[in-house]
Order: sequence, then C-alpha cells, then structure tokens
Amino acid sequence: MVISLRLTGDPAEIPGALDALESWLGAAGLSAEDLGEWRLLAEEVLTNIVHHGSPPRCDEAIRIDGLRSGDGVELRVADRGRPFDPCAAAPPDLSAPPEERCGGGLGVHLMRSLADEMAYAYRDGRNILTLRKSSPSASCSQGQAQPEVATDDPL
Amino acid sequence: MSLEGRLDNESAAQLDQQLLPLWLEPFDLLVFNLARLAYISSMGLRSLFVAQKKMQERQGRTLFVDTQPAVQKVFDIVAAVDVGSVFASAAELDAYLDSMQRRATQSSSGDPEWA
Repeated sequence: MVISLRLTGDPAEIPGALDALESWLGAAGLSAEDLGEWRLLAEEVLTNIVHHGSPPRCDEAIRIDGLRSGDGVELRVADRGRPFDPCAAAPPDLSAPPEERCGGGLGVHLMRSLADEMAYAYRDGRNILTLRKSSPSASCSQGQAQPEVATDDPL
Repeated sequence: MSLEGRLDNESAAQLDQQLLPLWLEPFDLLVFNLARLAYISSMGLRSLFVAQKKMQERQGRTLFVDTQPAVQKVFDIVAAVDVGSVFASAAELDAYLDSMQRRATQSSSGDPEWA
C-alpha cells in the first residue's frame, strides 16, 4: 500500500494532510496507538518544515510518500525548504524543570524517540527525511479470530 | 481546565488564547484534566510549558490529572511535567489537595515551619 501527498507549503494544509495520512494508515490496519504516533511524527516533520524551513510556495513544496510493507511503515518527506538535518540537531535540555523550559527542539526529539529509524539526505535542492517504524496490524497484535470448532461436543 | 481531543499545532494556539483572561485572575492552583486528551504534539507541550511557567511566577502550582497513555508517553519522552504533579485519577488528586489543605491549616495554627 502506498500514499502520495503534495503540499504547497501553506500551514493551513497540514491538518488535512495528517487526516489523509491517518485514514490511509487506518485502512492499512494499524492500531489506534500506532495511528496516533504516526500522526505525531508527521505533524512534527511538517510543522518543522513549514515554520523553520520556509519552502517557497509551489505545487510540490512538500511531498509525502508513504509505504506500508510487512509489519512496518516508511514515510518519506521531501521539501524545498532550507537545508536542515534533524538527525544532527542538538537534543533539548530535558533536565531543566518544566517551568524553565521553552519547548525548543522538542519536535525533533519526539521524532527521534518515536521512529525506529530516521535518515536524512539533501539531494537536488530537497531535504529528504525518511522515517521507519515497526507497526504491526491491529488485528495481528490482538490475536486473529479463530473459527469456532465444537471440540467440546461429546459426540 | 479540561482538555479534549488533540492538543496540536492548531489547538495549542486556541488554548493560549483561552488561558489569557485566566492570568488576570488571582489563583494559585491550575489543574489540567487530561482524561479526554488523546494526543499532544510539541506545540501543545509548548503551551503547557508556558502555563507552568506562569504559575511558577505567581508562586502557584500546575497539576495534571487522568493522563491517558498516549499523552503520558509523550510527557515521559520530553520530561514535560514534574513527576510529582501528575495524578492518575481525580480521587488521587483530591486526596493530595486534602493533605495540602490540612498542612495549610496546621501552619496557620502556629507551626513555625509552615508560617
């Protein structure tokens, strides 16, 4: 199963793209927990691009390609914004008390923590971020329904 | 204050707006009921950080009650809240607030340590 989405770089498009992605992943059989975590991963990636990468508005400022295979999902996000490698970003200071924190760097930290793999490349004027995460089908993790067999029938 | 659904990029700005008039009121305890909050992103966390900071500035406290697993997981990843400020249920929070009130009563009755 694959999905391909194109965004113009307008922040207002993000919720719709996240809804589309979540519907696709839901149809691919992911659990509610995995759906939420993928939505969060995608929101952090897209918010970062739109607010910090400032890609020029065009038909394909951001392109999202999703691939569902086996027990995992891979999401590739390409954008024309400023080069930014989230894999190399400094981690936020988590030791400071909450009331002294400003929230900077949390999105990237969440991405790194929730994804099983995260890879970055800059090619042909595009940031290309690939996220992978093991996401078994909800029906498998809950145990498959067994056909009813009347084994307790004494006859 | 009860939060519901998703605290994301969009709704975090709404929360900030809703909190604005509240900061004009005198109070020293802010409780977020998260029983119906299913999702939080970094923008939502930022709003909660700001709220915790404002409460700290007025010598108050921010508490969180009934955090759902998906939200708790994010809290844990980013150490978003003080462990001592999270309560599993309203009953647990009530017990804590009762004990705080008892201490306050004791202090007003002459215990120098709490004066």
